[in-house]
Amino acid sequence: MNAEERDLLLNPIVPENLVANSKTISDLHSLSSSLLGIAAGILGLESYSGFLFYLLGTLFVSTLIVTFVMGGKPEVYSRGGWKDVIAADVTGGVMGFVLTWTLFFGLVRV
Amino acid sequence: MTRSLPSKLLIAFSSILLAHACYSAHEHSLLLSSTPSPHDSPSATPISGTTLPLDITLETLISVSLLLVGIISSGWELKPISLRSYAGGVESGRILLDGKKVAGLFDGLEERPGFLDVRKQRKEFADWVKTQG
Amino acid sequence: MSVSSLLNRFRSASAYPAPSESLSLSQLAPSILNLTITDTPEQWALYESLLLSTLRTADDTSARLILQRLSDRFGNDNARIMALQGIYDEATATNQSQLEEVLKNYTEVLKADPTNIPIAKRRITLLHHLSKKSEAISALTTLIDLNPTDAESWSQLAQFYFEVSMYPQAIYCLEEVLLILPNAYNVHARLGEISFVVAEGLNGSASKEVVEKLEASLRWYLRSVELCDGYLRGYYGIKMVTGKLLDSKISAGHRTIPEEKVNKLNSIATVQLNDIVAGSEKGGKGFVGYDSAEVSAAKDLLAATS
Repeated sequence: MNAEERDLLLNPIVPENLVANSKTISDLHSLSSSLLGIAAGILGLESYSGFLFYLLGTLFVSTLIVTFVMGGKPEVYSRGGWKDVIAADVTGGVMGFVLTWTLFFGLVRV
Repeated sequence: MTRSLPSKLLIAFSSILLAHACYSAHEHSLLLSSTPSPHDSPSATPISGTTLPLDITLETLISVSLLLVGIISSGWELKPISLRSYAGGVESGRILLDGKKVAGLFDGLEERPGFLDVRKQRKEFADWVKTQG
Repeated sequence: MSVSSLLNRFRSASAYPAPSESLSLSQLAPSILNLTITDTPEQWALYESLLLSTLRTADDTSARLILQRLSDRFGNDNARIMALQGIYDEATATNQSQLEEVLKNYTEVLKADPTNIPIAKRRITLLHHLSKKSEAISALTTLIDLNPTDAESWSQLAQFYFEVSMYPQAIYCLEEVLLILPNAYNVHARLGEISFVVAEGLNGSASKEVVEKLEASLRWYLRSVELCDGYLRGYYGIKMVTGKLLDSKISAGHRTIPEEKVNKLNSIATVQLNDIVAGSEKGGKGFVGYDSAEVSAAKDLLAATS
């Protein structure tokens, strides 16, 4: 038995809550990524600058989630703490971001 | 999820601001394409966002930031993942559902609904009704 | 009110609601029965809870109607519906011979299909209700042989053994429950309670065995508060058991847990109980979940030992 298994036996987790939390967080991510995409489209960012904007934006969103939703204690609500929130953020929302980015880029510019 | 009034107002305000920024950017690009470019060469007409005036850029960034703050601060609820703090929250009433106590994770082991003695409960209820007069 | 909020209302009530709670739940019957049937799992779960509530308050007309709708949907030969029908028959039987009739009916169903677990549980409950305790226990052990991973059955068997004062058997059954659900903090507390009862029942209060049982009880209680923060029942037990262990009649030589540790645990439990009692009496926001009877018991314990 390794240390992690032992720790799980001593301090068990509630799997239902883990699943429900990651669903809520991923919902938040897809919503906020779409909004970031709108902003990138209006600003008319292209290629790398757009993705850089996305990266900075998700860091901002992660900070907001940790402060407002998790009350500054990410380790209470997700197993990996900070890392998990940011990782889920960066990977989870790219599709929504690109979709609204291109859409608003096209809408704003004639 | 219960949205508080300040969050609602913030979301409404920043949405309007964002819509306005979007409209302004659109107008600006219309203006650019209809007025001849000072260099008189059609290929030099820049379409990229770098030509966007500073006020529109700022308006966009501020409105999106405010919108994100408004959405994220509007009462999303997470539950503690460790059994110790979740069960403690349920037992003490710190974690509620619709203002009511949540059933404990293992209550079924002591209530045992499959072995419910309905006649006993019925009798207890009848006795209670008698005491109420 | 929507189906889900109604269902939450029923779920937050225990399976043993106070009579006034039963009445208010049962009075929801007309409004629930008037909702259109959407055939969602939530709605049928709501019907099932409502059926039990109406039977508790002897609203047999509503119960009949609910049962009718459930059996129209799921069929009379569904094991769960059969059990609900059985509960209805048990509740509405007016004399002993009618109850015996229900029992005979259960036995026949089980003869045809021994794997009908809901009906087997009904039969065991009815046997117990008719004061045939040893028959209930043997029927339950047969059921457990058939289905050894059902924690509810093990827990019920522990209760039956407890009622007839067969404590080692009761403890064994609850340990089986913990093999299935190792995190069940309330079962840990229950084991602590039974071990305490055993220790109290032994004569010769200074003997080695008493100390052993008290320490076993303390360990169960400690795990229960480790699994559940601020667990009133667990801290109550810790306070009680450590109080006993520190009693001058207990000979210190038999103890395996050092005295300073017991002392420390006692003071921690006192602090926690004081917090809970004070918070509940003020009606503090994070204290509404505690049962008022348990809180007043804790208050009495604190008053008796201070």
